[in-house]
Amino acid sequence: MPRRIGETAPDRGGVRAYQEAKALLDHYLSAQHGLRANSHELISVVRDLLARVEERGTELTADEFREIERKVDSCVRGHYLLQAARDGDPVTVRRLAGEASTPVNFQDPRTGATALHYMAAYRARPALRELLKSGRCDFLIRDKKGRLAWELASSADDAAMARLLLRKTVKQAAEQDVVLRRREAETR
Amino acid sequence: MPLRARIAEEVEGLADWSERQTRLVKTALRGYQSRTAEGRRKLSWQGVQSDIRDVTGVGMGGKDTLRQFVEGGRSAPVAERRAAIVRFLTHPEVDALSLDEFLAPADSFHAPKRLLEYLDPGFDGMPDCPLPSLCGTYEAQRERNDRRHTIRLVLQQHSDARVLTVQETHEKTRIPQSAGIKGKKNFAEAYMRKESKGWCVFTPEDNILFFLKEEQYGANHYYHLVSDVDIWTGKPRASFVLLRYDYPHNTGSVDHNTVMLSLAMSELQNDALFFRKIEAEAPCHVV
Repeated sequence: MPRRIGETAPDRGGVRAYQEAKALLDHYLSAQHGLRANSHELISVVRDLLARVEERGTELTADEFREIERKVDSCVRGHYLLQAARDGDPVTVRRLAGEASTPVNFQDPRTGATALHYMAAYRARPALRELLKSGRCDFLIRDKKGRLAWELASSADDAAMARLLLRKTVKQAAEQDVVLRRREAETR
Repeated sequence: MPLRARIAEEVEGLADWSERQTRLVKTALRGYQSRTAEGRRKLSWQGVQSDIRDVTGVGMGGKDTLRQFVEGGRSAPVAERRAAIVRFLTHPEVDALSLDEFLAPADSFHAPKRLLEYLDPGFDGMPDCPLPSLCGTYEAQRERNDRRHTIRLVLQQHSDARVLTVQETHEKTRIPQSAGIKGKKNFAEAYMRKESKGWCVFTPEDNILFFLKEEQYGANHYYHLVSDVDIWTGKPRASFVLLRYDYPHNTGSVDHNTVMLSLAMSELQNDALFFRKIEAEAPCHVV
């Protein structure tokens, strides 16, 4: 059973590793104002990492510590980007998407949606323009209902956005030799 | 049941497509058109019409019928052609639309009816409900930072007089004064627009509870009355104040009751919304 945050780790090396990682987690969580949804996923990612550290009962090497830091940072940035996409906030999207360490195709663990999906669903054109500038969007990712981003723009009655995203989707599919089929939902 | 029999029984019997079904069909047609692109050239709408005729034996009438329906906002074709479009899109070789998704049941109103049963104190029965006097379109605005949130509620009568159907549109735009010269180009463009649907019921305590679900990703939010609407006069209401809830407020790691309460209260102030009626009567919507 993975130990819960706040519980004591088994030995001295483990305690130190645990405390350092917990301090790191606290640091990120305390800075996450506005990140109100899905923080449970972030916590579960870190709990999983901490559990693995505790099992070994040794101090973390610098590389291992950096790996935890990188994963937590990526997860936090991904969640921030999703939040900005849901809010249609182009300023935050521009800042985050402009940073190479932000995973622009991060998927919401609950819905499987990326920032692109949310922007399409909520007709968030200014935010979408900023995200597209990053040049790193994957148009072939499907959410847990099997939907591509362009389909959501079409369902939201934004024909112009749907056309733009569909064009990019077809282009990427052709480049990667992917056959576009009807969606097959993960949860049907 | 075989696909063909299901279509004959359930699709061909449909008097009309709902808004949701219409959007699904348009999306599926757009998807088919792009999917069958040869090289970089999309199939024309006439080409799609021709494919439908080949598969179903039913023509679409004019050369431009399908394009006008999908791209031009023209209403759906007549019943026989509508059924042919669904038959085509669900054909195993085309596979552009899921029949299950197309035929998914419309919004269910079992929940509000059960809630009303639960809310009934069990003495005299629930009083005659005055909710219809609330029907209409209401709008509230909230400004935060340099953004304006406009929330519009359309309240319509349901066949059960104790329930109203609710459609909500939440749009975020720039506040006019904050638009610089650079921002003028896209000034009228919304930052985002969310649409939710749901219902509201009247409680024995003269409160009104609203339950709304966002259409695309199913996020829930709720309202309840915070001002007495004096509903028993039966006169149409011009305004009311609602408190909106979705996620709990973030009070950080504060654990002191007074500070925590004060932080929560300051957040709650932003969630109290003054709704003003902007259209007297929303069209009657009996489900």
